[in-house]
Amino acid sequence: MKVTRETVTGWLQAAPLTVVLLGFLVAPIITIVIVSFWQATEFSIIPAFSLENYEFLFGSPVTYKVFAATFKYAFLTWAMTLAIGFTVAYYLAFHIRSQTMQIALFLLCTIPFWTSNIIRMISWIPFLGRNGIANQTLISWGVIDQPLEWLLYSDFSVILAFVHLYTLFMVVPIFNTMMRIDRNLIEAARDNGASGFQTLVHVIIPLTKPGIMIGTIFVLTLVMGDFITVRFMSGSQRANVGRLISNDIALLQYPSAAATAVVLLCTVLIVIGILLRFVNIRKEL
Amino acid sequence: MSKTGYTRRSILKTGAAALGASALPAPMIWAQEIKNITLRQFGTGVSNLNDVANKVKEDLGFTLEMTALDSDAVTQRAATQPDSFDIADIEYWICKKVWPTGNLQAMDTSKIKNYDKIVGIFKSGKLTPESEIAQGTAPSTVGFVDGPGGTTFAESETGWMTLIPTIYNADTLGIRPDLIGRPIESWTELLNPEFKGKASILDISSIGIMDMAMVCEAMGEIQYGDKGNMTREEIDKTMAIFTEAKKNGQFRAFWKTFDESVNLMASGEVVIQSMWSPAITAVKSRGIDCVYQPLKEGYRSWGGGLGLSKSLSGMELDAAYEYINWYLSGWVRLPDASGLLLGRAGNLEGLHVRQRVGLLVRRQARDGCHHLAHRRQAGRSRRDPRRRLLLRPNGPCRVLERRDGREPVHGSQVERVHRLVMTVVGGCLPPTPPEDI
Amino acid sequence: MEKRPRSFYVLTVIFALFVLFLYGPTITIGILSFQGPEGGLTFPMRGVSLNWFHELFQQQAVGDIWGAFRRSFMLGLLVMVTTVVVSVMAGLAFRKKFPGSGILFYLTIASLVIPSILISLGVGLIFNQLGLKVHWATSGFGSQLTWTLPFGLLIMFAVFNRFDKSFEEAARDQGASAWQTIRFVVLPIIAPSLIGVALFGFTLSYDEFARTLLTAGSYNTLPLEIFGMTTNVTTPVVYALGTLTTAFSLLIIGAFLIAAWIMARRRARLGSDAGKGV
Repeated sequence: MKVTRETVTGWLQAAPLTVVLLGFLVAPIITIVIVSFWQATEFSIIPAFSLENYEFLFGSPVTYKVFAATFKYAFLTWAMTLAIGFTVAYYLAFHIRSQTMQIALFLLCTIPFWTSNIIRMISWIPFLGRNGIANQTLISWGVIDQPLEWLLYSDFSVILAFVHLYTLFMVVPIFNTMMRIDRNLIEAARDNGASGFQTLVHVIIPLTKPGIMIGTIFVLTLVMGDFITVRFMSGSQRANVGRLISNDIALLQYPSAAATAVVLLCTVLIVIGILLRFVNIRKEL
Repeated sequence: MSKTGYTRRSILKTGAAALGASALPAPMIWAQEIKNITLRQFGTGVSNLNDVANKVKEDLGFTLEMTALDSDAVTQRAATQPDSFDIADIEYWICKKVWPTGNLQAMDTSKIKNYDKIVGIFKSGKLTPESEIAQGTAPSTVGFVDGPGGTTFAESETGWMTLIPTIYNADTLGIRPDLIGRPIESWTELLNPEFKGKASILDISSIGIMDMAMVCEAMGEIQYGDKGNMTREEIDKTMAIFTEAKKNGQFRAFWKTFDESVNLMASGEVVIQSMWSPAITAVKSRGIDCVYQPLKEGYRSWGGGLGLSKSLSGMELDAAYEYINWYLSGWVRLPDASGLLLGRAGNLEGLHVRQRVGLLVRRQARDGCHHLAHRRQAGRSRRDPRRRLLLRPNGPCRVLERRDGREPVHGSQVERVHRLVMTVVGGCLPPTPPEDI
Repeated sequence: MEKRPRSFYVLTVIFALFVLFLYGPTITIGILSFQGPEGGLTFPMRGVSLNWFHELFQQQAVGDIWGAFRRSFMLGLLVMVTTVVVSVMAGLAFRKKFPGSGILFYLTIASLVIPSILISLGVGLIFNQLGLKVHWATSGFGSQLTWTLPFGLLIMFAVFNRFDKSFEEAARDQGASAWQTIRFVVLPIIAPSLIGVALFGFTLSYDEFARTLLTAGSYNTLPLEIFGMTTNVTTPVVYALGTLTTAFSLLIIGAFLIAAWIMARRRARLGSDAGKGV
């Protein structure tokens, strides 16, 4: 009977979490799925089954372009954050020797994460604008004659903002896994004549893979679900799936928004499902 | 915050009392309970000003809570969250979307004291008896319903009004003459490759497509049957022309609230864009040259007003009527409300000028919003907070109206309204959002 | 000490650039918020003043910053407490094998990776369909929990993975009940980590935007207000607000760090080695 009792305790302890997730995760998703089959007028929702939303969604070339753009943003941001995040974590984990210094520098990196995303995002605008600091500096240095137009309201500024916002989600898990690598392994590699580069490629990177995967999951899902960064940084000129949804919401087309949301959710879950095959999150924490 | 409230209130007190005495029907009818009433109003940043709420508290005694949102959010809230507001400050094109939901109740015009002074454009649809009704959602077509609970629009005045108009104007392109350096005469200039990467248009589909239609028609590309009720084909063609322009990099950015348009213009990111008149004033107030350019094809107008939530009743409903009467009585001077209470055609500014002696100063505040002060209130001491109203550099005061009723800023409103080509409509959404890649 | 390899210096430069990249924009608006009263949203600076901070404390023409701040602060505290309690309970639950734990775990992960706007939309729709009012303290609160709880739980996993079970066994051997074990042994040991959970809970909630967007109802939280201001305000007042919120966030982190430090010290003084591995 001991097992039963432990099970019951477990259930009781997990109950609050379960309730919150059922109420605010599962129920909303079910609602979205149901509503995605409904119809809408300009001002209200009609609960009548219809495939119209999906037909429109899959029948419009805009959908494909927007999904392609979403993947493009996700991929480019992922590549940049991985490169930067790995380098930074590597530096912190293997080149900084005192632990106090390590913690101090790590905190230095994480502090911006605790402040408002929107504020951090709009901070770029005076920097990148036509008459912004970047352009003025470059002009005063004589590097360019005309202000660079593509600095702001472009794919460049969107990705820059993404990288700025989300690199930390890469740094933290990679740093975490790197700190748990047994230093003896690296010694051993060196003793066996491996160069620094060989150690990196054959020892450190394989051992850091779980951290990379967790970081990847964070960055991909954050970028794919975003709608506000794209709007601000592109001056409403670019679109991703999140904007498609928020546009529909703004126009009161809830069923259509829900259909797009369902497709987005499936896409994200497939991507995450694939990534989870490479890593056991619970073990890696 | 409360501290500020006092300051602002004391600023306005003396002068406002002076002019208020004549303009305001003293609402002394209620007892103490009125102080406990709170009305929640929401609308766009153009007119949802905290100063109005402060003045309401002072004059009428009850509390008005203001929430400012962008146009889409306003529509959304009016249509889907009827419990979240008591008074909706919405634009006429939103009417078509919101009214059928039954979230608003019509107003009994016999309770509106200045009803007979409301300009004809909101009643018969004509500014002057000779005016032609422009294309689009003319306010008169969505201005009335058959009874207090009506959800379909009536064709003429019925005594039950949907919105009490508070604000209307005719819009055109805003330009930076210093950066363009030549005359601009037509809507077609918006797509002129000369301004590649320096143009902008608004990102509110229902209004944006109207500006787009003005451009396409001016270009001679499309002849619209009725821009206010486009056919699918017309919409597709319009979108195609603008999508093409967008792909060619014509636009720097799109804007959603008028303040965004101010920032785009003031920072030099954009030199030509469709714009609302308060935004022009806001740009100018920073000492930047900006012109609200009259164009040969005419203007695109817009208008908004106050509507009452269906849930209002009893004392609160009375308070709401009182508020609306107060609103129309003259203290509130919104950027584009000049001429709202039109006695007779051709004398738009007349009423206000007669009501108020002295030089009226409208402050273009830091957020593009407007306050009113009597010049005599402006103190002399540099530390006097009243002086700030006039001299505060972040929102320099400008003398926008003068005793003689001339409007030195952007031309006479009646002239603009006479040249109206269309009014903004709702319910005519493009098949794809304008920010198609 | 070993000689630094050349790569160290290269990486140091890269790291410095990265930090500059992280802080650059924040510093930019920090500087711009001290614009003179004549100044605008962009450089050049026209004088230096505290004008915009002063403005911030005046009533704005539209909106209500301080009301939004109070609401966000309240909501942050609420979410923080709930997150700590629920995460600890769930963390304890997951140490046992109980039927359904796998599903619950994947639900938690799903909650973390689901695009925020879906939660916002879904919760908004539910409340709408049920005829309930959305309010920051009900729908907004629940929506934010779907974001903070997974973080809290993941931290608890990390904590319990490193938790030495022999402490509990020792307690049990001494005759402590299950509750006593948790109350007097487990909780004190994991307390410093709970500060981390609390910090996450508060700041994630305080900065949450997308999940609150359609679920906050009539009254804005601070991020929503800031969002409104970015489109409604055309002066450096928005930068002043940015600088202040950043400073406030730093203050909060500082407070949490000090709390953690004091706790660590007190434990060091008491000479317990419990939780060394935490």
